[in-house]
Amino acid sequence: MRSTNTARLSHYKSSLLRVQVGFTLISTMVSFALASVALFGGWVAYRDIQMQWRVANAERQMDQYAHNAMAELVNVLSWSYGAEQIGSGRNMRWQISLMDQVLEHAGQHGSGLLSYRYRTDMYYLLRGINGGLVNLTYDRDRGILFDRVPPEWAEARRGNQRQYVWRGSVIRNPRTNLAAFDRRDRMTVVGLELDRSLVNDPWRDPEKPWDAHAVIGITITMQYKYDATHGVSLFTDEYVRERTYSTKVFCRNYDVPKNLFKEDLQASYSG
Amino acid sequence: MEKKCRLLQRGAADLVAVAVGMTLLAITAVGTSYSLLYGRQALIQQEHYKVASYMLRGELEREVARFQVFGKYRDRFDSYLDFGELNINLDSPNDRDGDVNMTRGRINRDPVVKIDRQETGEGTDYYRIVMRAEWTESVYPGALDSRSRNKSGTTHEILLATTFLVQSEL
Repeated sequence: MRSTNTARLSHYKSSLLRVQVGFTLISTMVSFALASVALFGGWVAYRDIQMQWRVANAERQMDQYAHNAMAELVNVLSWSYGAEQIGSGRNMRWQISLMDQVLEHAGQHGSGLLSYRYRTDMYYLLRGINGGLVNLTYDRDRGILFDRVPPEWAEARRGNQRQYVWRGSVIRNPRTNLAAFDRRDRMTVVGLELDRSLVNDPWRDPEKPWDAHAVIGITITMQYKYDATHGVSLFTDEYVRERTYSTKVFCRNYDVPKNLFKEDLQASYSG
Repeated sequence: MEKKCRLLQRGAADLVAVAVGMTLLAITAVGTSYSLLYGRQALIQQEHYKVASYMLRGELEREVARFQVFGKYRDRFDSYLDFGELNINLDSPNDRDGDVNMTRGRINRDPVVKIDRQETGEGTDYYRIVMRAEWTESVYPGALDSRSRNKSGTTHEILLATTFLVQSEL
C-alpha cells in the first residue's frame, strides 16, 4: 500500500501537477477562512439589502400617508366655516366648525368627496343649527385623529383586526403601536401645525381682526426611522427619512351671510 | 501528454464557468443596486411634485381669500399687481439623516385679472388668478457615472388657475 502511494506521488512530482492527497491542517484552515468570509459577506449583503428594501418601502408608505392626510385635512377645512386652536402643547386641539351634521352614506364606508364621515357635536343646536364642531388632534403613532379616531383610510380591516395602512403585520395594541414591520422601524407623525396665515397680512382690515381666521395654514411632518445600530459596525446606522408637507386652506364657508363661528369670533374680539 | 491536455481543458472549462457565473452575479448585483438608487431618486422627485403642488395651491387659496375677504385688496387693485416671488423648499432638512441635496423652487403669480363682460352690464363679473411653481432638480436620477453626474437635473413647472366671485359685489 505504502509503496503504491509513493509510486503515485513520484509520478505526479515528475509531471509538474500536484494533487493534494487528503486534507492538511493548512488546507483546512484556508478553506474554513474562505467559507467564513463568503458566509459573512453573504449575511452582510442580505442584511443590507433587506434594510434598504424596508427603508425604501416604508418611505413610499410614509409618502402615501402624508399625501392622504393632506388631502383629508384640505377637504375637511375647505368645507368648514372656520377653525380655532384650543389649548396648547400636548393638550392642543383644533376645533373645526362644520355646522351641519353631515353623514352621507349613513356614515358607512364611502368613496370620493361625498363620503364625509365625521360626526359633529351639537354645539350650535341652541341657536337653531343641527350640528357643530369636530375636534382635530394628532398622535405620534396613530397620525391625525378626528374626534380621537384615525380616519378610515388610515386603517384597514382584516377580519376583525384593525391595521394601519403602513403596517405589514397585525397590530397587537391598535392604540399605541405603529411600527411598520418589526420593532426596529418606526413611523411617526412628528408634527402637525395649524396657523392663521392672514394674521400678519399688510392689508388686513384692522377693524375686523376676526377675518384673519379665514385662511388656515397646515404643516404636517412625518418621520421614519430604521434602527440598525446593532450589528457589524461598518453597516450600522439609524436611517432617518422625513417628509414635510404644507399648504393653506381657505375655509369656503367663512364668508357666508350666517356664519355662527364668525359671530362667536366677533363676540370674543369685542369682549 | 493527452492526460495533461485533458486536465488543462477541464481547468479552463472550470475557469470559464466561474467567470460566466460571476459576470451574471455582478450584472444582477449592479442592476439591483442601480435600480434601487434610481428608484429612490425618482421617488424623491415625485415627492417634490406633491410638495410643490400643495404649496402652490395653498398660496393660490390665500390670494383668493385676500380678494374675497379683505376689501382693501379690491380697492387698491392696481397697486396689487406685483406678487413678487416666493421661495420654497421642497426637501425636509432632517431627511436622509440631514445629508440631503436641498431642492429649492419659486412660486410666481401673474397679475390678477378683473373680468368684465359686456353683456352683463357694468362692474366686475369675476376675478382670475394664475400662479406657477417652478423648480430645477439638483440631482439627475441615476447619475452614477462621472459623465452624467455633472448633468443638471430637469426643470419642472406646475400651473394653477382659478376664477372666483366676490359675494359683496353680487
